This record gives sequence, structure tokens and C-alpha cells, in this order.
Amino acid sequence: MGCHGAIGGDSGNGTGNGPGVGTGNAGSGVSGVGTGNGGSAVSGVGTGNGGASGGSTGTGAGGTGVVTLPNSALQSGPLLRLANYEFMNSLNDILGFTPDVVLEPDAPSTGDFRIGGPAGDNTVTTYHTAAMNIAAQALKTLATIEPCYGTAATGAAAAQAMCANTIASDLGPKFYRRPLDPAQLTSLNGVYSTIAGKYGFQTGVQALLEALIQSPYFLYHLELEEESMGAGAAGMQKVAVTGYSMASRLSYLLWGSTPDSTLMTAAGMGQLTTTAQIQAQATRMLADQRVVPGMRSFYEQWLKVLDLPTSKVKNPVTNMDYGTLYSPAVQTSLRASFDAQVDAALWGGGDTIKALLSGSDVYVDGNVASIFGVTGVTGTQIQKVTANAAQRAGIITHPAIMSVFATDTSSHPIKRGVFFWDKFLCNPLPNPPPDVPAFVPPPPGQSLRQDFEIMTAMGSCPACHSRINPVGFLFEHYDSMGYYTNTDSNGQPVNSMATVFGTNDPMLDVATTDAVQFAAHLAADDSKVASCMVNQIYRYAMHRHEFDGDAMSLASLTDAFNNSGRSVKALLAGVTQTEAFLNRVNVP
Amino acid sequence: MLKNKISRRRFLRDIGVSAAAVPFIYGLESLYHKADAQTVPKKRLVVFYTPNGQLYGNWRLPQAGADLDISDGSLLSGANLNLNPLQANAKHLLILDRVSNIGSRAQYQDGSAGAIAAAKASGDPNGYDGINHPGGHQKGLGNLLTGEILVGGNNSVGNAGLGNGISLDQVLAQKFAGKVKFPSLEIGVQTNEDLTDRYVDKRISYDGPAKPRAPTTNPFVLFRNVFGSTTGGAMNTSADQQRADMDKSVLDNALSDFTRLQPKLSKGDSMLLQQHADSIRKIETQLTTVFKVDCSNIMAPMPQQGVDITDDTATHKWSMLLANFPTVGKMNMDIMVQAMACGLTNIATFFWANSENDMTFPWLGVANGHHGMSHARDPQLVKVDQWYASQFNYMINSFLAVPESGGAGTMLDNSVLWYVNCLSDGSSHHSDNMPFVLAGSNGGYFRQGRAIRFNNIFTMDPISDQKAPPAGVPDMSNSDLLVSILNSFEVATDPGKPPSTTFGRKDFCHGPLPNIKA
Repeated sequence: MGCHGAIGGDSGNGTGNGPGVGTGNAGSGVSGVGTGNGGSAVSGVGTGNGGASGGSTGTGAGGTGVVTLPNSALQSGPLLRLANYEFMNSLNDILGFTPDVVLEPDAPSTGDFRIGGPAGDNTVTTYHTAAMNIAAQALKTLATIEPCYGTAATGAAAAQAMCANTIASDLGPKFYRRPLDPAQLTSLNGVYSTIAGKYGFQTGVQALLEALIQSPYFLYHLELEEESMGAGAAGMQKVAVTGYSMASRLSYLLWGSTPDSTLMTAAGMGQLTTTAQIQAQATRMLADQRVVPGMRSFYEQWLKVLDLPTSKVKNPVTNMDYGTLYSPAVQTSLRASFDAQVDAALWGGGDTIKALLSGSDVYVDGNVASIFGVTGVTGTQIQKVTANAAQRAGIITHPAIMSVFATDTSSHPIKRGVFFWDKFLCNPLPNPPPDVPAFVPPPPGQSLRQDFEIMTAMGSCPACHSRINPVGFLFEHYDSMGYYTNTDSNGQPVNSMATVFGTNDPMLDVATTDAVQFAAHLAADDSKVASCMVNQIYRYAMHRHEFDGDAMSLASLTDAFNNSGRSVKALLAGVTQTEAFLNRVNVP
Repeated sequence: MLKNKISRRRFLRDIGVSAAAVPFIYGLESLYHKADAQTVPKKRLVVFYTPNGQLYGNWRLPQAGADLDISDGSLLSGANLNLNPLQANAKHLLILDRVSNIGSRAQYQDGSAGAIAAAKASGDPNGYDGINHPGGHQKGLGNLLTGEILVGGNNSVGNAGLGNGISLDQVLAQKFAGKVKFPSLEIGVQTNEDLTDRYVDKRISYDGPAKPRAPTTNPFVLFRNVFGSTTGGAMNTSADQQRADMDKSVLDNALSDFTRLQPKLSKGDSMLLQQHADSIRKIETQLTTVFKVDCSNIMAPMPQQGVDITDDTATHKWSMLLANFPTVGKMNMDIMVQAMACGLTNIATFFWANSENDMTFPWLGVANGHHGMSHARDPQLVKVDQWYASQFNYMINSFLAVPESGGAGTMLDNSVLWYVNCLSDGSSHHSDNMPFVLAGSNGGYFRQGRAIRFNNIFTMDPISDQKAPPAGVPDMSNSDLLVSILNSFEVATDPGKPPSTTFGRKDFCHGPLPNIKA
């Protein structure tokens, strides 16, 4: 009987056995994309051996391995493309609508957050298709942001060319996140005039928009002014990131999107140079409501709710019809409920970690109230109510998370355990070993927990499962959708009692009745979760896993976080003052 | 290019396709009689993919024998046979029984060479024959057309890796690049476009290792992309010229930006952008060549009530509604067949739903989800698989309805349609005894009207009667079939060159499948 056979269907959803787990080899990974141990399938960046070409399609872009500047928190990484959420958010800010296009999926960073990896044929094809669709849609509303587009449509050719120049001059710097140089403007005007000459004004502008969307100046996180200092240099150089590059760093970190005009103006005036100036902008941005949707990009990745399954199945034993209950409307409301609860924890002004780990306030509408065991809520407006405190504690028992780490028909204690160790304790478990014994269906009449206990007792399984299983079993009261239940998916009574093992924390490594009590233990001694959250935000900000050189930065961030009463705003402001955020290392 | 209607009707009558068998009579014939199309090899491939495995006991023919004549259809007539709907076209079929998708077996969960060697060296029959429980529904797809194990090999839990090589359709597409407007088409039907989870289960076609190609699923977008118009009728070639001019201008601008950037970057970043620019150059050549195609009388997808067909968001939503699954499938098949008939492409993958999906089939009265049913080996699966077989039958009929080259046979004669799944038994995630069926001889290359049973190891239903292959007897693999199909093209695309002998991982491949060449 084996450890890693799926049981009872497999709604899957990466449990931390994928990217980000194997960090040990990151230093030899290809340009810091992918984990270097081959676990990060999606990145498509080959495995290990940084200097190698990394696969027959030449995906080993960069050709240079990750380089660390001695005695610093600086690591070289490859030039990153915009992640898809950055691409979408940026276009929304520039053009005023969120495009409905399909892009190539992002790659995972070594820190298990999404980044834009090296581009290949399919990347180019999908950008090309997306640009056509976005430009066509943008024309419909372009006159509201570029008034001349409406008036010039019926005007003379010269007026139309002037309008195209106006559009290029205005949108160009927004797309490229730095001023256009004259050659770029000439080139964009050339696109317009070539096409408009044959097919008219509107088609010319459409081509101009497509050109902006497919330019590498839009698609890549260029730190051009800083990186160009290193071109041709003999050795590694530490370079302060300022100006337009810093405007983008701040904006994509805090708002998940392109810089606003204030940042661009400050950059242009040389006012994004000193750490105080950078801190002042960060403070301004953190006071802006845009930080709320902006940081959603962080926590939806951290807590894996992007992996919310799109369907479930009726459980044939208990007859719980998840196929029907887990409707698209419920999925949408679950996500809204999750966002509302995390937003309240992050921005409510109190101790973020305590708010994430405790409290029975939940945010529900009529679609999902019953999942939380709440009655009397109808309609589709999310509202705050109090759930049974014996059943819900903070975000960790939220049905969205429970639904992700489950199968189509049942809970999944292994997935939940692995998730918790990785994302709340920053103590990831390794991938399953290659010698996992074959799966043998469990005998009927025992609980799901017993099935897993037997399966994971074999061979070398206990080395990890002694840590994974107890934490996972604590969540056994939450079924495939996060309903609280006393009957498991095998129709057997739930036993959620477990003795947590392996945290080396005497307050946590104790006999625990269930997830609610576990949350109370964590909240009583929440330093572990707090420092893990600091690490997670740092990984998100730096697009990589932390390494030894980051130790001082992380220690001071953790202090700042704790001393501010666990304010996420203070933590984010602190991140903008770290060595790794303020500088880059140039490699020749 | 239109033939008059009487001759087309007569043609259809002559080849035995009733008008009712095809939704509309294609006003088309394939364009190979045209002088400018004669340089294009007259060969076509469609990979017709359906998910979640098939019950082997319902898929395979009950009769014994390694080489059965099925041409009169009688062997497919069993009411509980999944292939029952294909009876009338049995003379065009080549059923391939007991072929394995080796790369999807359990021992390849870990892709490291050491783990594979250890699995083989162990000699454990349960480890070697793949009967043990592989990782999930999702992973077979990445092996199927690549003949490789997945990148990273971590197939057992959650997100499996992606396919680790170029897929057959893309190898073939390269042979048509520059000769036809679309080297290949990737088409899906309600293929979930949310790429955040289980990505490998949503992709069948690969440019190379971990470089999957995305299918187009929305019939209205697909039609516009393929034919440059939204309404059908004559093909809009002026739109083609305009699009080509725009692409040239836009992509040249991007390339000039890349050139501008290069000297300002480190060597590594410069190489990274070089790769991006190289891809643009490659695609620009394809995009900006205007192929002379003047197909008229193209049928566009029917507009749907209450859906603005110029609004991609609206048509996308409509196309993703479960109730529209059959309609969308038919629309996309019709577009694909017309694209082939017009000489716009020779290679397509046609992908029904995701490899792991839990769709219900209300139009069949099947209320249980497909994934769940496959695990339960639900008898209602027969309804589902017969329905998919009827869709494959519709595609065959559509190919039969297009005369080839001014009357010499039909488009099916110069095509091979491959009906595949990524699993055999969905319940056990079994990947031996794959349900492979070919239709069409691809220019006389494949035998027709036969059911070939390879490697008669399993005397009974292997799901209940598991036996390991005797030592030294190779399992015929999907890789072997990949070689066979590749060879069926190479006689036309690579004349003079010796046929290929391998595809994908060499240890999965034994050369072309025996006994299937005409």
C-alpha cells in the first residue's frame, strides 16, 4: 500500500509538492527560474545545471546561473516578464478595462510565487493573439482616454497623424513605464502611418496599440538605467535602483500594477533616489485603497486559493452531493468570502497574525452561509457574521482553503498537512520519494483517516508523514467543501484528535483536539507564523526564495512587523527599505 | 471553386454518405487540384481526443484474434460496445488494441534516470507492467503525443509536470510551415482555460519540453481567426492581406525595440531577449505570408439568440455553458473540416474537455460526473463513450463529404484521424490497453477495416486478469504509433529520406507498429 496514490478521486491542486519545495538546489538553477530540482514543471526552465542550455528548445535562457554578491542580500536573477496578473492589471490601469484574453501560464519563482518566465514561440503567439483582441476592444472606448481619437476619425489625414502621435506620446510612456526616446516614438508613428496609409486611421491606431502591447518595453520588468550601467563591466556590481525602475518596483509590489502618474513624475524629477524619498512614496501608496486589490495578488498565491477547483462530485457513501452544492455561484462567493476575511485581517488595523489565526467572524452571503453553519443570511451581499466558535477559527478553517486541499468527494489530510507546514510554518516537506509503493485500495468500513494512517505507515513514509499527518488530521471535521461535519467521507465518525509533532515548539507539539484548538495554540505563540508571513511577503517581493544573505533583512523586517503590532503596512514599508529591494546586482 | 450542386449530391450518394449524416453539405472540395496547392503534401492528421479513459471491456471487441476483418461493421454491432456508433464507417477504421502509453506508468512518476533504472532492474512485475496505480488522470496527456515522461516526473500528487518534448502534431506541422496558412490548428471544446491548476491536463500539443500550445475553444473566435470573417460566405482574403501588413509592422516595431535593448543588457538577459526575438521572427514569417486561398461558400457558426457574436466575452461565456457542449463541438469540427478542405491546414488536434473533468451529460440523461463515473466504473460510461464515438463518426462523415482533388476519392482517403484518450481504465489510472482507433488510410498508408491486437499477453480482460508481459516481449507503445503516423507523412513530405524509426524516448519505442501498414 502506498503513500501517494490518489484516494477517492483527485481534485488535485498542488499541495506544495510542486514548486518552491526544493530550494536547496536553487543556487544552481537556471537563472533562478524554477527550483533547480525539476519540481517546478510549469516553469519550463529545465532542471539544474545553470550553465547548460536547459533543454532542447533552448529554454535555459540567460545562460548564467544565479550569482550571489558576497556579504549581501543581492542575487542576480534573469530579466522577468510581467506575470499575467501584472499584465492584466497594467492594461486595466492604462486602457480602462480588464482584457478577456488567455495568456501562457506563469512560471513559479523559487519562492513559489508567479513570475513571467522566458518566452518561446507559444508566448509570442499568445501575446500576438491577445494584442489583436485587446486593441480591437480598446478602440471602442479609446476616445474617453484619448479624445482626439473621437474627433480625428472624420478629420483630415494630417490631423489624424497628429492624433496618432498624441496617442503614442501619451500611452507610450504608460506602457513602457519610462519616457519614450525619440527613436521609439518615430518607430511607433511609423507603424501608424504604414497601416493608416493603406487601411485608414482606425486600423492605423489599432496597429499602434498592438505594437505597444507587444513591445519588450511593456512586457519585461526592465531596469534599464541600472542594468545598462553594468553592460560591458568586468565584474559584479551593486547598483542602487532608483527613478523609473524604482517606480515600477514599488508599484508592482504594492499595487500589483503599473506606476501611477505621481510615481512617474517623482521618477522624472529625480525624487525616487534616496531611501527617504522611496519610503515616502511607499507610505503614500500604502494609504491608497489600491493596496487592497494589489496585495490580493500576494495572498491568493500564498494561500493557494487560485487553485480553487472548478467542480466537485457527489460522495457515493455519504450522498453529500458536492457536484451540485459546489456550484459556480458558490465558488464565486467562497472566493469573495475569503477575500473579505483576509482583507479584514490585513487592513483592519489590528494584529494581522492574530486576525488570521483566531476569531469566528466570517464573511458570507446567501450562497455560502450554510457552509459556515450560519443561518439567516440571504442575497449575494457579503456580510460579516459570527460563526460557531467551536467550529471556525480565523482563516485556516475557511472553506475556500478546505476546498482547495481536498478531493472531489472528501477531505484530504495529507494535502492539508503539507500545505500548512509549507505556507504557515515555512517548513516545507520534500517531494514524495521515487520508491513509493503501489496503491492498494483500502478495505471498506474504516475512516478516511485510518485509510491514510495505514497507507503512510509503510517503508520510508513515516519520515515525513509523522509530521504531515497530525496537522492534516486536525482538519478532518471539514469536508470536501469545508462544511463542518462529524461524519467523514467514508461514512465513519470523525476523529480529529492528534498530537502535533516536529515543530520543536513545546506549545505546539502537544495533543490537540482539532484545528480550532490548534489555531488557539498558534495564536498563543504566534511568532512562528509571523516570521513565516514575513518570509512569504519577502519571497513575493523579491521574486525568489530567501537565502543566507537575506538573514539580516528578514530579522529586521520581523522585528519591525512585531513591533508595529503586526501591521502589514509597516511590514511592506519595511520591505521597500531592504537591501534587496533598493539595489540590484549587475552581472556582466 | 464551387462544383455544381448536382454533382456534389451525386458524389455523396456514390460514396454512401447520406445528406442527413452531415449537418450541411460542405460547399467545398479540397484544394489540391489547384496549381498553387500542389506543393503541399496531400496528407492530414487530426488527433481526436476524449477524456477520462474508457472501460476496456466495452471498448475492445469481444472476438478473439490478432487481426480481425471488421469492414462490414458487424463486429461493432454489440449494443454495449463503445465503438458501436462507428459501424457504418468500419471499413475506414483501424482499431489498435493493446497498445500502451508507457510513459504514463507508475514507475515513471519520478523522472530521474536512477528511478527508472531501479524500476526496471527490480523486475517486479507489478512495477514493470504498469498495473499499479499511476498518479492521476492528468498526466497521460503529456506523454501521449510526445512519447516522453513528464518534465520533473512528479506525476503522483497535484500538479504533474508538463510534457517533456515536442508532440507529433508539431513535428508534422513543421513539415507544412510556409506551405499552408496554419501549420497546425489546436482546437478545444470547453477546455478549461483557467491555467492555474493541473495545467498538464489541459494541453495535448507541445512545441517542445514544457512548451504546450493552447487550444482555441470559442467557435466564433476560431472561425474569425481561421477565415478572417465573422459571417462566412467567401473567404476574406483582403482581411488576410491587411492582417499580414499589420503584423509585419507591429512585429517589426517589437524587433526594433529588442535590437535597441540588447546592448544595454547583461549577456544573460540579452540572450533571454534574443530567444524572444527569435520566436517573433519565426512567427512573423508565418503570419505575414499571405496564402492564396479562395474558398467560397464558407459556413460560419450559427449566431445564437441573445449572444452578440462580435463580443468575444459573450461568445466565450456561451461556448462554455455545459448545455452547449455538443453544439460547440459540432461548430468547431465544422470549422476544422472546412479549414482542411480549404487547404488552410493539414494538422489539427481536437480536444474535448480536459483530461480530468467531471462534466455531466444532461443531453444523454447522465447526471453523474465523468471523472467520478470513471472511478466508479459506472455502467453509464457506455452512453458517454458511445456519444463521443458518434462525434468521431460525425467527423469521419464530414471528411467523407469533401471530394478530393476534383473527384478522385474523398478527403478521408488522404487523412488519418486518430481517436485517442490519455487513459485506458479511468478508475485505476491504467495506461495499458489504450483505446486507439484510426480512421482513414492517409493516402493508402494504413490498412483499413481491421482490428489489430498486439502482443497477445492478456488472455482475458486485463483489468480483472492482470498478467505481466513475459520477459523479452516488448509492449507496443503509443511511441510506436507515433512513428507509424510520422512515417505515413514522410513518404510524401520527406521523399528519399529513410523513414523515421523512433519518436520520443528511445526506450519506449520499438519502431513503427507492425502489421498496420497497407
